[in-house]
Amino acid sequence: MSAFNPSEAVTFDLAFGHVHLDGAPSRVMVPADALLQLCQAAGAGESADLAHAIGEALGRRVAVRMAVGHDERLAAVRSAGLDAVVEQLAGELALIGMGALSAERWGKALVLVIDQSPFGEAGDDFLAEVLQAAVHALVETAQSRLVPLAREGVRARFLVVSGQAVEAVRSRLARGDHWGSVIAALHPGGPTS
Amino acid sequence: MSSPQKIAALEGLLERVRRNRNQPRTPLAVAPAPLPAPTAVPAAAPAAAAAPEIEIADDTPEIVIEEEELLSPAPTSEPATHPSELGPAVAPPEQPVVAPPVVEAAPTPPAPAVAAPTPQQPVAPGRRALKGTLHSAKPIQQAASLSAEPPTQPEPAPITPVMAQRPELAAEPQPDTAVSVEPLLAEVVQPPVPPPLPKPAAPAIAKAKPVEAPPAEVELEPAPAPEPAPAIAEAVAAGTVTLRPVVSTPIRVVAGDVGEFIGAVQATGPATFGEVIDMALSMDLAD
Repeated sequence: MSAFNPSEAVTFDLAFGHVHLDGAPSRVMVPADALLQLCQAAGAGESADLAHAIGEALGRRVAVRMAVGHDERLAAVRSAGLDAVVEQLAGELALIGMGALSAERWGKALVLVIDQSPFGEAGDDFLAEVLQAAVHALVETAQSRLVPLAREGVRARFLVVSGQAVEAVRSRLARGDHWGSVIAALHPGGPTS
Repeated sequence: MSSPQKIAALEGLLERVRRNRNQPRTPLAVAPAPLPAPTAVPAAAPAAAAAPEIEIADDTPEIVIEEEELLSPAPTSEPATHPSELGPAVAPPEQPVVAPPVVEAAPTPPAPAVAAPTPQQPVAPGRRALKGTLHSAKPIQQAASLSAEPPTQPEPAPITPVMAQRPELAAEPQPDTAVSVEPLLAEVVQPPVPPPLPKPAAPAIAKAKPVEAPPAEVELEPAPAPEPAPAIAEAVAAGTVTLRPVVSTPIRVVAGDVGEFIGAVQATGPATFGEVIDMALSMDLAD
């Protein structure tokens, strides 16, 4: 899998006044603040639907690109290295202007990190929905959930957990547990596991 | 040239015109004397009083000049609008006046043949027979051409004095003068035309050449330098198990090349994306 190449990924069609993203319908460039306000006014459900639409399209584009030369798209993505997938995912996310993506592995835990999110802290839930939908599109599983783990300045961390563990993680975070202790608790033999 | 001679000359000229046009003979009347422009008419020129009077018998055929002919475009030469241009016999104006001098002066009785209307004159349908409406420079030039004939011919009678003795004609409204004044007034009253406003500059996008497939210009700011992974021991202060981050994969952007990302992955254990996801989803936390 080659490195992410954004060349000609975005087309500004001045004649028609359209912005095209490679392999995707026309885009509309709107202020991030206005989009966030719209999501907040629409409600959690509608905001999640919008985020899912964005994330699914994003993950699908990554999967299609990574499946080039493979017979099966899912197998191609799963067999790819973590760095390669994160690289493609980060490139697509950067193209739509939602920050810089990286990943961290803490034991078994996988943490996706977003730096410089245009939405700020208020948009972390929205970003979590976007990333979750992208992961769903990549591995074609609905079990994964992304929970906003912590924010340190412009860096936000999102934990990839299963649906059965998501409520326990949320409750621990809600009661003020440090995000490190939560990760430790997720491992067998951890402090509170 | 005396009046009879002038009439004879004009009649001969008109006869030639008729023969050329193959038209029936038109009753000959007096040669139309041009009405000079009000500003160009000399005020009570002495020569006007001494000018011979035109006497034409009642049975003298009149000249019927069709309106089309009179209103035909003037020759290439400029029409004579000043008495000095009418010929050598025209007395130069001594002092210009605004009103026609014939109104103020007490001229001699007008010539009946000229002033009297001719109701018997056949008028073609749709056309108006004009008699003595001397608003065309054509007859004037013709008369002037007569003066250029061989010297054996007597000098033509001055035209302007003749007209000065016809107050009923001179006092009549002169269409040419009125027409010529209106445009002048219009020009005076007409406000100055403001200069055309500069056309607003077209938007730059309108001039921009449609871009079919421009290269993407995605500015990717370099990601901040990866911070050292927090020690899980600090996070889990009271924990008995210390977890170390086995993977820290910040996506870095190589300066100067926005299209190439380098992902540094330091992994122990499974490295494929599928295995990492499965491992993450296998974690559970029991409250």
